[in-house]
This record gives sequence, C-alpha cells and structure tokens, in this order.
Amino acid sequence: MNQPLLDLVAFGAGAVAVVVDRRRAVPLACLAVALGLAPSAATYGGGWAAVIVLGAGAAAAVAVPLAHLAGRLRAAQHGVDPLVPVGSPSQGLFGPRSVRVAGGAVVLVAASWVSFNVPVGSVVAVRGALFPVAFVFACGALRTFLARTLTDVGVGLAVIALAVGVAWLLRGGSDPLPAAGGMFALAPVVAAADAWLHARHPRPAAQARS
Amino acid sequence: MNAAWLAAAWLAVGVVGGLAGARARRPVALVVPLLLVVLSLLATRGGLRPDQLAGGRLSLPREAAGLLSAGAAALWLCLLLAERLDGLEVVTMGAIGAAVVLLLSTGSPLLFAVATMLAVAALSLRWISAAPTRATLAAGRVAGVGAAALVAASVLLPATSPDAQPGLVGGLLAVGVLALAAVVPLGGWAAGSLAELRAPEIAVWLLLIAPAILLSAFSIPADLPLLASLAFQHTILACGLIGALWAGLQSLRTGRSTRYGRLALGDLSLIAAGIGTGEPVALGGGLLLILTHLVAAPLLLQPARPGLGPPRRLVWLAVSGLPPSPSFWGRFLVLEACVAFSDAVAAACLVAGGLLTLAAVLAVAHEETGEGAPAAHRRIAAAWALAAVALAVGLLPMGAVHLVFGGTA
Repeated sequence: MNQPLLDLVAFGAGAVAVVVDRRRAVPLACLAVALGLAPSAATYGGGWAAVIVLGAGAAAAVAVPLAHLAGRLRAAQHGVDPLVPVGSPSQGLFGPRSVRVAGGAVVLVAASWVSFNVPVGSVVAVRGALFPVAFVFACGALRTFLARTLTDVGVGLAVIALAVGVAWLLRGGSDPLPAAGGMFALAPVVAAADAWLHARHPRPAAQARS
Repeated sequence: MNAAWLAAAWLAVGVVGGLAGARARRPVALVVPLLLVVLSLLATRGGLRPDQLAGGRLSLPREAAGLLSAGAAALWLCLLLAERLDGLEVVTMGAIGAAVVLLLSTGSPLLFAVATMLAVAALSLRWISAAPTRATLAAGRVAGVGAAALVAASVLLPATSPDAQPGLVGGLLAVGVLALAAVVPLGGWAAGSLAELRAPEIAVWLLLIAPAILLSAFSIPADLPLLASLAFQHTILACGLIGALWAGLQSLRTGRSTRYGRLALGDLSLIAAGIGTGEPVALGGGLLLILTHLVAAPLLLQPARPGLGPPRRLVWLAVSGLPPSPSFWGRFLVLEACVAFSDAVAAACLVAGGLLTLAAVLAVAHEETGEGAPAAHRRIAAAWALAAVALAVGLLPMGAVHLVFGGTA
C-alpha cells in the first residue's frame, strides 16, 4: 500500500479518536484506530501484526459488554462517574469537542513535521513513514491533555497504546512483535476498565445511547 | 526473588487489600506494607542502576530496592497515622508499587515508559475517585501527557545520528520526567491536589512515583547521544530551578495545610536541577532529599492533632534546611553541584533553598496544636519514632544514605 493512502486512512482514524464522545467512546476509538493503523502495521510488521492490531480493536469492543456485566454484578453506584465532567464544567463559547478539533488541526501540522524530519528505526532509519502513528499518537495525547472526564483519559490512553504499538513495529529491531503486542493489549484493558466504571452508574436508555 | 516476582507481589498485595472486608481493612493495611518492605529487600541485586534506555533484562539494584523498601515503610507509617481508611489505599499502593518496581528495574525504554503510564493511570483513577475536582483531573492530564512523552521518546531512541533530532528526544524525556515529578507546570497538578486529598493518597505519588522517576532520571543522560543529553540536562536544570524558586515563594504564601506539600515540591525541583547539572555529587544530594521526605511526609502530610505537636515541630526542623537537618545536607550537595556548573545557577539554587528554609522555619514557629481528640498513643509513638529517625539522618547523613540505598549510592 502506498504511503499517502496509509496517511489518509490513519488521518480518518485520528479524526474519529478526537471527536468520539460518550458511553462507547473508548471501544469506538479503539476500533477506528485499529482499522486505521492495521494497513501500516501490515506494511511494517507483516500480516500477523495487522491481525494483532485488529484483534486488539475487536477485543476492546468485546471487553466492553463483559466488563459492563461484571460491573453490574457489584450493583454499586458509588464512586466517580466516568462521563461526568470532573470539577465544575466551564461554559465557554466553544464546547470541548470544538476545542479538540482545533487541537487536532495543530497536531496535524506537528505530525507532518515529525514525519518528514524525524527518522525512526533502530537498525535502518526511515523518514517520511511516521505520519500515521505520529498523528494518531498526537490525537491520543491531545485527548488526554484536554480531558474533562475519565472517559476522555481512557480514550487517550487506548489510542496512545495502539499508536505506540505500531510505531514499535516501524522502529524494528530484534523481534518487535511481542513488545508491540503488549502495547496493543493495553487498549482492551482500558476499554474494560472504562466500561466497568460506566456499569456502576446506570443511566436511562436515552442518555446511554451512542 | 526477581523484579518481576516483586512486581507481582506488590500487585497481589493490592488485590488482597481490595478483597479484604470492612472489618479486616485496617489490620490488612497495617500488615501488608511490612511484608513489602521484606520482599523488596529480598529482591535486591547488588550493583549499579540499570540503564533505563540502554536495553537489558529486569534487575532490581540496591538503590531501587532501598527506595522501594523505605517507600513501603513510609506508606505503612502513613496508613498507621491516618485517622480513617476507606479500603482502597492498599489497592492503589499495590498497583502503583508494581508499576514502580518495573520502571526501576527495567532496561527497556518501552517498558520504562509503559510502567510509568500504568502508574499514572492508577494514580489518576484513585485521585479523581477520591476527590473529583479540576486539580485531581490535572493529575491525569498533565502526568498522562508526561508519560506519553516518555513513550514517544522510547520509540525514537537511540537517536544516535545528528539528523535524528536528538534534541527532540532529549526534550521529550525532559518533559516526561518534569511532568511526572510535578516540576512543570510549576508544581501545578500536584500542588492543586494537596488540599483536596488525604495523606495516604498523596503519599503514593510523593513517596513512590516521584522519587522513582527522579532516581531513574539520574541515569538517563549517560544513555543518550551528546545533543540529546545536553537538551535533556539543560531543560531539566532550567525548569528545576524555576520550579524550586516558585515552590519556595508559594510555600511562604500558602496556608498551613499545603505548606509541606509545596516545600516537598521545591525539594523535588532541586533534585531535578541537580540532575541537570550532570555532577555526580548531585546524586548524593538527591538521595538525601528523597530520604528526608520519606521520613517527614508520613507525619507532615497528616493534619495537626493534639499530642502530635512536638514531634511535628522536630520533623519540620528536619525539612527546614538548617544544619544539621538532613535536608540541609541534601540541599548543600545539590548546591555544590550547581556551583560546579555555574555561578548563576548556584545563586538561583541558593535563593530557592533560602526560601524553602524560611517557609519551614515559619511553619515551626506557627505550628498549630490541632483540633479534636488527642491522637492515640500508637500514633504519638510513631510520630516520635519518625522525629528520632529524622534526627539520626541529619546527624549521620551519608551513613543513612548508604544504609537505605546501598554503598554504591
């Protein structure tokens, strides 16, 4: 697959990671990023790497109902609600999603600069191939930095884990797949933790949608 | 016992603490940290710190084992002195401790960064759950971005060629270390949380995560190419000095409840500045300051109570920076490193140290007696024991450092 196409697919995944909100935000972001980075993983790490990335995204989606079920078993409704903004929410001209989109425009430029100026690779340094992971990673970092809820932090962590896993494949070295697989495994764990926290705060169906 | 098993032991202790019922909560909290002290000492391997960025297997050096065992002992004292426990203290301690064991013992840059990220995730979840405010959310935001910066740097290493943007790598590492030690943004995320959280919740960051990150940071410049090393050291030196000056000013302005926290942030900033000088003597100063706060924090993070006044004053003197307090020797060694670096840096270090000393002396002079019922006898005994240890560390500073961190420190 050629590099511009890889960049375009990753851009779409990063955009989803920046704008996705509410109850299913973490699994949706994991799925989108896994789909967006799977072609890059296949290019740099081979077919198995792509399978593992997609598996991590699918595992995040599967872990959510299981963790939700486990959380409901406890039937405890105390503790922090991951969807409620922490602290008093500010009433600004632009909402949190608008701010994230504006930040996304900035990280697009930053990721382009990194891609063209920072070579990566422990054995053979390559340049110009880093945009997919740099952009998705920056979107995850942005999501964490602008977080208002625990779910925002969870989205950021999961996205960063998937992006760094693929970056580790691109970096190469001796047998990078186990370390990258370890990074990918963090995404379902984060999704499960987020779903478990959600399950302790049941909401009316209208609120729970999305 | 190797480092992986020790990490598993910390995690298992957290799980046991989580499963304990309400009646068993306090006994479990007062027993398991002592178990961790013993296990950390059993996992000791002699020798130097692993190079966190240079690769290699898990190996827990004497310094790291000393930090872990002293940290576990300090956390035990925190739990002993706390008035109430909600049962999640041991869970948090176990999860964060396991991550800290990994970050102290690993030779893989990726595992180092991921362990940091896991520690920050556990800390953020605990802090936000305990006190959901903007200040505690900042722990997840700022420290999370710091951990992300370390992860990004791990991918870009080794950055040996000049066109590999070694400055960017050094900058990312510096941002990660400074954010996790709350030196940037000027102590903001940790300082804001000090007023919101109880002592056991603050202690897991102040006594485990921050010292572990700073101890690891001492070995980072040696593993970097020259340009990256210079970027790392200069950034951390400048931010450390600015952070120390700001913490000194704020510790004079702030109320009694957060004064100790500000002072501790100032000392963490001074340790960061010491790392930035690249002088070997800074390591001794840093270890002494870490040891000082391992002794002082369990008592000074607690609210004042009748019966604890005299030992609290003694411990305040231990962190004052007046000779022969342990913090005096620690700041003196950091100052020595700054003098070796440049006169301007030394002047800034001296001013910051002076401000911190003034704040501590004012705290001693205006120490309140506290409200409510007098503290229990066992708490008073623990407080006096801490004061005695602080005095002993001040009288035999390097002996104490060698006892806790080993002879190579």
